[in-house]
Amino acid sequence: MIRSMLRRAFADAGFLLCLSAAAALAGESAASLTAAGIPSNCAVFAAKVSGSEGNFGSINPYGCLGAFQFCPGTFERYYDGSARSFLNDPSAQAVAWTQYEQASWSQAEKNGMTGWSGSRSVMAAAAQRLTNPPS
Amino acid sequence: MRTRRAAALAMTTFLLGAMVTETSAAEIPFRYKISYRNVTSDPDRIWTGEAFAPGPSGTVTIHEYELRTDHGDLVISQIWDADCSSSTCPTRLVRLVPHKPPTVLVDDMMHQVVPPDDARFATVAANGVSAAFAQRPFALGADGNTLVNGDVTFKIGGAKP
Repeated sequence: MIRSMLRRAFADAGFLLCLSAAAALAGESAASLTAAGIPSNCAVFAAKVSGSEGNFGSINPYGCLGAFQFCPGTFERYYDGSARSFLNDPSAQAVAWTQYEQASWSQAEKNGMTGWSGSRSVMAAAAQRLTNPPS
Repeated sequence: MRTRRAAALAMTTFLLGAMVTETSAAEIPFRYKISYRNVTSDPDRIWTGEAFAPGPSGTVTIHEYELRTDHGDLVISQIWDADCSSSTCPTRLVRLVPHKPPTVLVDDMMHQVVPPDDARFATVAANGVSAAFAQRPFALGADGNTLVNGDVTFKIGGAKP
């Protein structure tokens, strides 16, 4: 009887894990992100990001919020209201994410990294090139 | 039967949640100490020089947690500055000795904390799985040589150069 209950409990746990993982990774669609205010030319990319982050109402165990999982320190930089209002406001998440991406691009420009845009890189080869420059 | 199954399901869910988020009984959690918001320098001088990297506003926010031991006070300081990634920020574990500079024991990127003094997170921090991490983001490992930060651990004394 106990073994049967345990087996059932583990089966249920597995189901719950699969369900929660699927829910966590489902993300928002390009259409819903466009509706929230993401520029249409970014919507497909944004949907892929959201697919590995969460939905508008998602909270992870570390307090990261929404479709793009703004963690507390990042959240503080891009949104002034409460965590709860952020979770309930897809438009605010769209604005915050767009600003975050713009800031990240500016940082990349500042560090001279945007010239790599569109090029293919291999980390090991890049490291070798950096440590052993051609004479 | 349905009641028994529901009870088993609830217990399993609880245990899984506990496995993911709870601090082990043998670990010693750090306690929240203080936050310095929108400051232009670190009052405790844990973050100085290039390690202090304010954003466009020119300010940073620092959160500190502490643990008092027989061998001195341990403080964890996390700085929210331009060096943060989207989910982690520079964090140091230091040993404080009066009238001496802090000794850095761990220096790495760690999960951003959920500040307990921040009302904006009040409802979220009180909610389910995120509550455990919000209350105890750092703990001294059972072996006394590791720092536990959620699902990652750091060797004490193994700070990056």
